[in-house]
Amino acid sequence: MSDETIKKTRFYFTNREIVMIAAFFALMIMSGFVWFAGSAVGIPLHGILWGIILIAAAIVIGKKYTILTIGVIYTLIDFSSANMYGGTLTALNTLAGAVVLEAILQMASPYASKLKLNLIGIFLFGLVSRAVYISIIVFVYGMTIPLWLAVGYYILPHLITFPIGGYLGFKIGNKVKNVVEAV
Amino acid sequence: MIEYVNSNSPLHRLDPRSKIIFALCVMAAAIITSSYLMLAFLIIVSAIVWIIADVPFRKLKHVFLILLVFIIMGMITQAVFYTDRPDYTGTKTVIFNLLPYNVPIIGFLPVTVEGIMYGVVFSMRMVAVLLAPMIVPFTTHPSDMILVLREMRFPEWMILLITMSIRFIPLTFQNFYTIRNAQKLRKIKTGFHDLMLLMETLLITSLKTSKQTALSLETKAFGYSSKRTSLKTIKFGKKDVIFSAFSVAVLGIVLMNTSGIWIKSLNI
Repeated sequence: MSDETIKKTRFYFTNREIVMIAAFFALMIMSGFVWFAGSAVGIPLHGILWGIILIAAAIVIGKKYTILTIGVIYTLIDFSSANMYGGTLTALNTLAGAVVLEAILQMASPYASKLKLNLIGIFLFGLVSRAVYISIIVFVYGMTIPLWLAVGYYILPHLITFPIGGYLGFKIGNKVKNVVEAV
Repeated sequence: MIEYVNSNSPLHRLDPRSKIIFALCVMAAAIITSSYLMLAFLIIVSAIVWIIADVPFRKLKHVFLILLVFIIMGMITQAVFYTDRPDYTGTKTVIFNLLPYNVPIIGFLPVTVEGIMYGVVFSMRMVAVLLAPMIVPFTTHPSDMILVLREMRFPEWMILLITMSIRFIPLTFQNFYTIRNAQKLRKIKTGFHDLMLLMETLLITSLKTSKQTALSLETKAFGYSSKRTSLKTIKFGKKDVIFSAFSVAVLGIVLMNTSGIWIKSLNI
Protein backbone atom coordinates (compact mmCIF):
# COMPACT_ATOMS: atom_id res chain seq x y z
CA MET A 1 0.00 0.00 0.00
CA SER A 2 1.36 3.42 -0.94
CA ASP A 3 2.06 6.11 1.65
CA GLU A 4 -0.77 8.23 0.28
CA THR A 5 -3.30 5.43 0.73
CA ILE A 6 -2.13 4.83 4.28
CA LYS A 7 -2.47 8.56 4.99
CA LYS A 8 -6.00 8.52 3.61
CA THR A 9 -7.07 5.54 5.68
CA ARG A 10 -5.60 6.79 8.94
CA PHE A 11 -8.25 8.10 11.33
CA TYR A 12 -7.93 11.32 13.27
CA PHE A 13 -8.28 9.35 16.50
CA THR A 14 -6.19 6.22 17.06
CA ASN A 15 -7.94 2.91 17.72
CA ARG A 16 -7.07 3.26 21.40
CA GLU A 17 -8.58 6.72 21.64
CA ILE A 18 -11.72 5.63 19.80
CA VAL A 19 -12.27 2.75 22.22
CA MET A 20 -11.60 5.06 25.17
CA ILE A 21 -14.19 7.53 23.87
CA ALA A 22 -16.61 4.59 23.59
CA ALA A 23 -15.94 3.73 27.23
CA PHE A 24 -16.71 7.31 28.31
CA PHE A 25 -19.79 7.29 26.13
CA ALA A 26 -21.06 4.12 27.83
CA LEU A 27 -20.57 5.85 31.20
CA MET A 28 -22.64 8.79 29.97
CA ILE A 29 -25.45 6.47 28.91
CA MET A 30 -25.30 4.74 32.28
CA SER A 31 -25.42 8.00 34.21
CA GLY A 32 -28.53 8.95 32.24
CA PHE A 33 -30.33 6.21 34.17
CA VAL A 34 -30.29 8.34 37.34
CA TRP A 35 -33.42 10.04 35.95
CA PHE A 36 -35.34 6.83 36.61
CA ALA A 37 -34.89 7.48 40.33
CA GLY A 38 -36.98 10.65 39.88
CA SER A 39 -36.26 14.34 39.46
CA ALA A 40 -35.07 14.72 43.07
CA VAL A 41 -32.16 12.37 42.35
CA GLY A 42 -31.85 13.07 38.63
CA ILE A 43 -31.40 16.82 38.81
CA PRO A 44 -28.44 16.93 41.25
CA LEU A 45 -26.73 13.72 40.15
CA HIS A 46 -27.06 13.96 36.37
CA GLY A 47 -25.13 17.21 36.10
CA ILE A 48 -22.42 16.06 38.50
CA LEU A 49 -21.93 12.73 36.71
CA TRP A 50 -21.92 14.24 33.24
CA GLY A 51 -19.55 16.97 34.37
CA ILE A 52 -17.15 14.34 35.72
CA ILE A 53 -17.35 12.16 32.61
CA LEU A 54 -17.03 14.94 30.02
CA ILE A 55 -14.13 16.74 31.68
CA ALA A 56 -12.37 13.46 32.55
CA ALA A 57 -12.80 12.31 28.93
CA ALA A 58 -11.28 15.54 27.63
CA ILE A 59 -8.32 15.24 30.04
CA VAL A 60 -7.66 11.50 29.63
CA ILE A 61 -7.89 11.49 25.83
CA GLY A 62 -6.38 14.97 25.58
CA LYS A 63 -7.03 15.45 21.90
CA LYS A 64 -9.00 18.19 20.14
CA TYR A 65 -12.56 17.34 19.09
CA THR A 66 -12.95 14.65 21.79
CA ILE A 67 -16.00 16.32 23.31
CA LEU A 68 -17.47 17.19 19.93
CA THR A 69 -17.14 13.54 18.87
CA ILE A 70 -18.80 12.34 22.07
CA GLY A 71 -21.57 14.89 21.49
CA VAL A 72 -22.14 13.77 17.89
CA ILE A 73 -22.21 10.06 18.82
CA TYR A 74 -24.48 10.65 21.81
CA THR A 75 -26.87 12.67 19.66
CA LEU A 76 -26.87 10.02 16.92
CA ILE A 77 -27.65 7.21 19.35
CA ASP A 78 -30.15 9.28 21.32
CA PHE A 79 -31.75 10.25 18.03
CA SER A 80 -32.38 6.63 17.14
CA SER A 81 -33.54 5.52 20.59
CA ALA A 82 -35.80 8.46 21.57
CA ASN A 83 -35.26 7.83 25.26
CA MET A 84 -35.71 11.39 26.53
CA TYR A 85 -38.84 13.28 27.42
CA GLY A 86 -39.48 14.98 24.11
CA GLY A 87 -38.38 12.11 21.90
CA THR A 88 -35.70 12.19 19.28
CA LEU A 89 -35.45 15.90 18.50
CA THR A 90 -34.45 16.82 22.04
CA ALA A 91 -31.29 14.75 21.49
CA LEU A 92 -29.89 17.83 19.77
CA ASN A 93 -29.37 19.48 23.18
CA THR A 94 -26.27 17.35 23.84
CA LEU A 95 -24.75 18.32 20.49
CA ALA A 96 -25.38 22.03 21.11
CA GLY A 97 -23.73 21.82 24.54
CA ALA A 98 -20.81 19.79 23.17
CA VAL A 99 -20.06 22.40 20.50
CA VAL A 100 -19.76 25.12 23.15
CA LEU A 101 -17.72 22.98 25.56
CA GLU A 102 -15.39 21.92 22.75
CA ALA A 103 -14.79 25.54 21.74
CA ILE A 104 -13.92 26.52 25.32
CA LEU A 105 -11.68 23.49 25.95
CA GLN A 106 -9.72 24.23 22.78
CA MET A 107 -8.73 27.62 24.21
CA ALA A 108 -6.42 25.85 26.65
CA SER A 109 -3.13 24.46 25.46
CA PRO A 110 -2.75 21.50 25.87
CA TYR A 111 -6.42 20.63 25.41
CA ALA A 112 -8.56 20.84 28.59
CA SER A 113 -5.58 21.47 30.83
CA LYS A 114 -6.85 24.63 32.59
CA LEU A 115 -9.30 24.21 35.44
CA LYS A 116 -10.88 27.66 35.04
CA LEU A 117 -11.60 27.16 31.34
CA ASN A 118 -12.94 23.67 32.03
CA LEU A 119 -15.33 25.08 34.62
CA ILE A 120 -16.51 27.84 32.27
CA GLY A 121 -16.92 25.30 29.50
CA ILE A 122 -18.93 22.83 31.53
CA PHE A 123 -21.07 25.67 32.95
CA LEU A 124 -21.85 26.76 29.39
CA PHE A 125 -22.48 23.13 28.43
CA GLY A 126 -25.14 22.94 31.12
CA LEU A 127 -26.64 26.28 30.13
CA VAL A 128 -26.71 25.70 26.37
CA SER A 129 -27.84 22.07 26.46
CA ARG A 130 -30.69 22.76 28.87
CA ALA A 131 -31.72 25.95 27.05
CA VAL A 132 -31.80 24.08 23.73
CA TYR A 133 -33.79 21.26 25.38
CA ILE A 134 -36.38 23.70 26.71
CA SER A 135 -36.50 25.57 23.41
CA ILE A 136 -37.28 22.35 21.51
CA ILE A 137 -39.95 21.34 23.98
CA VAL A 138 -41.57 24.79 23.89
CA PHE A 139 -41.12 25.97 20.29
CA VAL A 140 -41.23 22.66 18.40
CA TYR A 141 -43.63 20.56 20.47
CA GLY A 142 -45.70 23.47 21.74
CA MET A 143 -45.44 22.91 25.49
CA THR A 144 -46.57 25.90 27.51
CA ILE A 145 -44.27 26.46 30.43
CA PRO A 146 -43.74 29.67 32.44
CA LEU A 147 -40.33 31.26 32.48
CA TRP A 148 -39.87 30.83 36.25
CA LEU A 149 -40.38 27.06 35.92
CA ALA A 150 -38.18 26.75 32.82
CA VAL A 151 -35.34 28.59 34.53
CA GLY A 152 -35.86 27.30 38.08
CA TYR A 153 -36.42 23.65 37.27
CA TYR A 154 -34.84 22.94 33.90
CA ILE A 155 -31.84 25.30 33.73
CA LEU A 156 -30.71 26.78 37.07
CA PRO A 157 -29.97 23.53 39.01
CA HIS A 158 -27.79 22.31 36.15
CA LEU A 159 -25.72 25.50 36.24
CA ILE A 160 -24.65 24.48 39.74
CA THR A 161 -24.28 20.71 39.31
CA PHE A 162 -22.35 20.74 36.02
CA PRO A 163 -19.49 22.93 37.37
CA ILE A 164 -19.33 20.74 40.52
CA GLY A 165 -19.02 17.72 38.24
CA GLY A 166 -16.47 19.58 36.12
CA TYR A 167 -14.30 20.27 39.17
CA LEU A 168 -14.49 16.65 40.30
CA GLY A 169 -13.87 15.53 36.72
CA PHE A 170 -10.72 17.64 36.59
CA LYS A 171 -9.39 15.96 39.72
CA ILE A 172 -10.48 12.44 38.76
CA GLY A 173 -9.42 12.91 35.13
CA ASN A 174 -5.84 13.80 36.01
CA LYS A 175 -5.65 10.91 38.48
CA VAL A 176 -7.12 8.43 35.99
CA LYS A 177 -4.84 9.67 33.22
CA ASN A 178 -1.78 8.90 35.33
CA VAL A 179 -3.11 5.47 36.27
CA VAL A 180 -4.07 4.56 32.69
CA GLU A 181 -0.73 5.70 31.31
CA ALA A 182 1.09 3.73 33.98
CA VAL A 183 -0.83 0.48 33.38
CA MET B 1 -34.61 -0.91 28.38
CA ILE B 2 -34.76 -0.28 24.64
CA GLU B 3 -33.18 -3.29 23.04
CA TYR B 4 -33.42 -5.19 19.80
CA VAL B 5 -36.05 -7.95 19.81
CA ASN B 6 -35.18 -10.86 17.58
CA SER B 7 -38.06 -11.81 15.29
CA ASN B 8 -38.82 -12.46 11.64
CA SER B 9 -41.66 -9.97 11.33
CA PRO B 10 -42.15 -7.99 8.10
CA LEU B 11 -40.81 -4.94 9.92
CA HIS B 12 -37.64 -6.74 10.99
CA ARG B 13 -37.00 -7.64 7.34
CA LEU B 14 -37.24 -4.02 6.19
CA ASP B 15 -34.25 -1.84 5.48
CA PRO B 16 -33.58 0.39 8.55
CA ARG B 17 -33.73 3.46 6.32
CA SER B 18 -37.38 2.87 5.50
CA LYS B 19 -38.14 2.64 9.25
CA ILE B 20 -36.24 5.88 9.85
CA ILE B 21 -38.30 7.53 7.08
CA PHE B 22 -41.47 6.30 8.80
CA ALA B 23 -40.32 7.69 12.15
CA LEU B 24 -39.40 11.05 10.63
CA CYS B 25 -42.71 11.32 8.74
CA VAL B 26 -44.80 10.55 11.83
CA MET B 27 -42.73 12.94 13.94
CA ALA B 28 -43.06 15.75 11.39
CA ALA B 29 -46.78 15.11 11.09
CA ALA B 30 -47.24 15.14 14.88
CA ILE B 31 -45.40 18.46 15.17
CA ILE B 32 -47.38 20.07 12.35
CA THR B 33 -50.89 19.17 13.47
CA SER B 34 -52.88 20.13 16.54
CA SER B 35 -56.00 18.19 15.54
CA TYR B 36 -57.26 15.47 17.88
CA LEU B 37 -58.34 13.43 14.88
CA MET B 38 -54.99 13.60 13.10
CA LEU B 39 -53.00 12.89 16.27
CA ALA B 40 -55.24 9.90 17.01
CA PHE B 41 -54.69 8.78 13.40
CA LEU B 42 -50.90 8.97 13.86
CA ILE B 43 -51.04 7.03 17.14
CA ILE B 44 -53.24 4.33 15.55
CA VAL B 45 -50.91 4.04 12.53
CA SER B 46 -47.89 3.71 14.86
CA ALA B 47 -49.76 1.15 16.99
CA ILE B 48 -50.57 -0.94 13.89
CA VAL B 49 -46.92 -0.85 12.85
CA TRP B 50 -45.97 -1.94 16.40
CA ILE B 51 -48.40 -4.88 16.12
CA ILE B 52 -46.84 -5.86 12.78
CA ALA B 53 -43.39 -5.60 14.42
CA ASP B 54 -44.34 -8.58 16.63
CA VAL B 55 -42.58 -7.27 19.74
CA PRO B 56 -43.68 -9.25 22.86
CA PHE B 57 -45.90 -7.26 25.23
CA ARG B 58 -43.57 -7.78 28.21
CA LYS B 59 -40.78 -6.01 26.28
CA LEU B 60 -43.04 -2.98 25.90
CA LYS B 61 -43.70 -2.62 29.64
CA HIS B 62 -41.15 0.16 29.95
CA VAL B 63 -42.40 1.89 26.82
CA PHE B 64 -45.91 2.03 28.29
CA LEU B 65 -44.50 3.34 31.55
CA ILE B 66 -42.69 6.13 29.68
CA LEU B 67 -45.83 6.91 27.71
CA LEU B 68 -47.79 7.14 30.95
CA VAL B 69 -45.24 9.60 32.38
CA PHE B 70 -45.45 11.63 29.14
CA ILE B 71 -49.24 11.74 29.32
CA ILE B 72 -49.38 12.66 33.02
CA MET B 73 -46.67 15.32 32.70
CA GLY B 74 -48.25 16.81 29.61
CA MET B 75 -51.72 16.89 31.11
CA ILE B 76 -50.72 18.39 34.44
CA THR B 77 -48.40 21.09 33.09
CA GLN B 78 -50.70 22.19 30.30
CA ALA B 79 -53.82 22.12 32.48
CA VAL B 80 -52.14 24.64 34.78
CA PHE B 81 -49.96 26.75 32.48
CA TYR B 82 -51.73 26.84 29.10
CA THR B 83 -54.09 29.72 29.86
CA ASP B 84 -51.49 31.51 31.99
CA ARG B 85 -49.27 32.51 29.07
CA PRO B 86 -49.28 36.28 28.29
CA ASP B 87 -50.41 35.89 24.63
CA TYR B 88 -53.43 33.73 25.50
CA THR B 89 -56.63 35.47 24.38
CA GLY B 90 -59.26 32.70 24.61
CA THR B 91 -61.70 31.88 27.36
CA LYS B 92 -60.48 30.73 30.77
CA THR B 93 -62.76 28.30 32.64
CA VAL B 94 -61.13 27.66 36.02
CA ILE B 95 -62.05 24.34 37.65
CA PHE B 96 -59.99 24.80 40.81
CA ASN B 97 -56.76 26.44 42.01
CA LEU B 98 -53.78 24.30 43.01
CA LEU B 99 -52.60 26.95 45.48
CA PRO B 100 -54.96 28.55 48.03
CA TYR B 101 -53.06 31.89 47.93
CA ASN B 102 -51.72 34.09 45.16
CA VAL B 103 -48.01 33.32 45.46
CA PRO B 104 -45.81 36.04 43.88
CA ILE B 105 -44.53 35.09 40.40
CA ILE B 106 -46.21 31.66 40.57
CA GLY B 107 -49.83 32.81 41.09
CA PHE B 108 -52.76 30.52 42.04
CA LEU B 109 -51.85 27.81 39.51
CA PRO B 110 -55.40 27.45 38.19
CA VAL B 111 -56.46 24.21 36.49
CA THR B 112 -58.58 25.19 33.48
CA VAL B 113 -60.82 23.31 31.04
CA GLU B 114 -58.96 24.86 28.08
CA GLY B 115 -55.66 23.81 29.63
CA ILE B 116 -56.83 20.22 30.03
CA MET B 117 -58.04 20.18 26.41
CA TYR B 118 -54.66 21.43 25.18
CA GLY B 119 -52.99 18.96 27.56
CA VAL B 120 -54.74 16.14 25.71
CA VAL B 121 -53.43 17.47 22.36
CA PHE B 122 -49.92 17.91 23.75
CA SER B 123 -49.88 14.45 25.35
CA MET B 124 -51.14 12.86 22.13
CA ARG B 125 -48.39 14.66 20.22
CA MET B 126 -45.72 13.44 22.63
CA VAL B 127 -47.04 9.86 22.42
CA ALA B 128 -46.96 10.00 18.59
CA VAL B 129 -43.48 11.52 18.65
CA LEU B 130 -42.23 8.71 20.92
CA LEU B 131 -44.08 5.69 19.51
CA ALA B 132 -42.86 5.90 15.92
CA PRO B 133 -39.08 6.34 16.43
CA MET B 134 -38.99 3.61 19.11
CA ILE B 135 -39.85 1.06 16.44
CA VAL B 136 -36.37 1.53 14.96
CA PRO B 137 -34.22 0.24 17.89
CA PHE B 138 -36.70 -2.55 18.71
CA THR B 139 -36.74 -3.99 15.18
CA THR B 140 -33.27 -3.14 13.87
CA HIS B 141 -30.21 -5.12 14.86
CA PRO B 142 -27.31 -2.80 15.84
CA SER B 143 -25.18 -4.37 13.09
CA ASP B 144 -27.79 -3.30 10.51
CA MET B 145 -27.62 0.26 11.82
CA ILE B 146 -23.86 0.13 11.38
CA LEU B 147 -24.38 -1.00 7.77
CA VAL B 148 -26.74 1.92 7.21
CA LEU B 149 -24.10 4.33 8.50
CA ARG B 150 -21.56 2.75 6.14
CA GLU B 151 -24.02 3.12 3.24
CA MET B 152 -24.46 6.77 4.23
CA ARG B 153 -20.66 7.14 3.92
CA PHE B 154 -20.01 7.93 7.58
CA PRO B 155 -16.26 7.95 8.40
CA GLU B 156 -15.03 4.49 9.36
CA TRP B 157 -13.65 5.68 12.71
CA MET B 158 -17.07 7.03 13.61
CA ILE B 159 -18.69 3.70 12.75
CA LEU B 160 -16.13 1.94 14.93
CA LEU B 161 -16.88 4.39 17.71
CA ILE B 162 -20.61 3.70 17.55
CA THR B 163 -20.02 -0.06 17.42
CA MET B 164 -17.70 0.12 20.42
CA SER B 165 -20.11 2.38 22.30
CA ILE B 166 -22.94 -0.13 21.88
CA ARG B 167 -20.56 -2.91 22.96
CA PHE B 168 -19.39 -0.99 26.03
CA ILE B 169 -22.81 -0.19 27.48
CA PRO B 170 -23.56 -3.69 28.93
CA LEU B 171 -19.90 -4.08 29.91
CA THR B 172 -19.97 -0.84 31.89
CA PHE B 173 -23.17 -1.92 33.65
CA GLN B 174 -21.53 -5.23 34.54
CA ASN B 175 -18.47 -3.42 35.94
CA PHE B 176 -20.72 -1.03 37.86
CA TYR B 177 -22.60 -3.87 39.58
CA THR B 178 -19.34 -5.67 40.41
CA ILE B 179 -17.86 -2.57 42.07
CA ARG B 180 -21.14 -1.73 43.79
CA ASN B 181 -21.42 -5.25 45.20
CA ALA B 182 -17.85 -5.02 46.48
CA GLN B 183 -18.75 -1.75 48.22
CA LYS B 184 -21.90 -3.29 49.68
CA LEU B 185 -19.86 -6.17 51.11
CA ARG B 186 -17.78 -3.70 53.07
CA LYS B 187 -20.55 -1.54 54.52
CA ILE B 188 -24.27 -1.00 54.20
CA LYS B 189 -24.65 2.76 53.73
CA THR B 190 -23.17 4.55 50.75
CA GLY B 191 -22.31 8.23 50.86
CA PHE B 192 -21.20 10.74 48.25
CA HIS B 193 -17.53 9.92 48.84
CA ASP B 194 -18.18 6.24 48.10
CA LEU B 195 -19.99 7.21 44.91
CA MET B 196 -16.95 9.18 43.80
CA LEU B 197 -14.71 6.21 44.56
CA LEU B 198 -17.09 4.03 42.57
CA MET B 199 -16.91 6.46 39.64
CA GLU B 200 -13.11 6.55 39.76
CA THR B 201 -12.81 2.76 39.87
CA LEU B 202 -15.39 2.37 37.12
CA LEU B 203 -13.48 4.83 34.94
CA ILE B 204 -10.19 3.02 35.45
CA THR B 205 -11.73 -0.43 34.88
CA SER B 206 -13.47 0.75 31.70
CA LEU B 207 -10.32 2.39 30.38
CA LYS B 208 -8.26 -0.72 31.12
CA THR B 209 -10.78 -2.79 29.16
CA SER B 210 -10.71 -0.26 26.34
CA LYS B 211 -6.92 -0.55 26.22
CA GLN B 212 -7.20 -4.33 25.75
CA THR B 213 -9.86 -3.90 23.06
CA ALA B 214 -7.70 -1.37 21.24
CA LEU B 215 -4.81 -3.81 21.36
CA SER B 216 -6.90 -6.54 19.77
CA LEU B 217 -7.98 -4.07 17.07
CA GLU B 218 -4.35 -3.24 16.39
CA THR B 219 -3.36 -6.90 16.14
CA LYS B 220 -6.10 -7.37 13.55
CA ALA B 221 -4.75 -4.33 11.64
CA PHE B 222 -8.01 -2.44 11.98
CA GLY B 223 -7.93 0.79 10.01
CA TYR B 224 -5.15 -0.29 7.65
CA SER B 225 -7.47 -0.36 4.67
CA SER B 226 -10.24 2.15 4.05
CA LYS B 227 -12.33 -0.38 2.13
CA ARG B 228 -14.20 -2.58 4.57
CA THR B 229 -16.36 -5.47 3.58
CA SER B 230 -19.23 -7.11 5.41
CA LEU B 231 -20.79 -10.56 5.31
CA LYS B 232 -24.23 -9.01 5.46
CA THR B 233 -25.45 -6.35 3.07
CA ILE B 234 -28.58 -4.21 3.12
CA LYS B 235 -30.64 -3.24 0.12
CA PHE B 236 -33.48 -0.76 -0.22
CA GLY B 237 -35.93 -3.10 -1.95
CA LYS B 238 -39.49 -2.97 -3.25
CA LYS B 239 -41.02 -3.52 0.21
CA ASP B 240 -38.97 -0.65 1.58
CA VAL B 241 -40.19 1.64 -1.19
CA ILE B 242 -43.80 0.66 -0.43
CA PHE B 243 -43.34 1.24 3.31
CA SER B 244 -41.65 4.59 2.67
CA ALA B 245 -44.44 5.61 0.30
CA PHE B 246 -46.94 4.68 3.03
CA SER B 247 -45.01 6.85 5.51
CA VAL B 248 -44.99 9.80 3.12
CA ALA B 249 -48.72 9.26 2.51
CA VAL B 250 -49.36 9.45 6.27
CA LEU B 251 -47.47 12.75 6.37
CA GLY B 252 -49.36 13.91 3.27
CA ILE B 253 -52.75 13.19 4.86
CA VAL B 254 -51.83 15.22 7.94
CA LEU B 255 -50.41 18.03 5.81
CA MET B 256 -53.56 18.17 3.70
CA ASN B 257 -55.71 18.24 6.81
CA THR B 258 -53.60 20.97 8.38
CA SER B 259 -53.60 23.15 5.27
CA GLY B 260 -57.32 22.74 4.85
CA ILE B 261 -57.22 21.09 1.41
CA TRP B 262 -58.83 17.95 2.78
CA ILE B 263 -61.69 19.85 4.33
CA LYS B 264 -62.24 22.01 1.22
CA SER B 265 -62.31 18.99 -1.11
CA LEU B 266 -64.89 17.32 1.11
CA ASN B 267 -66.90 20.55 1.31
CA ILE B 268 -67.06 20.28 5.10
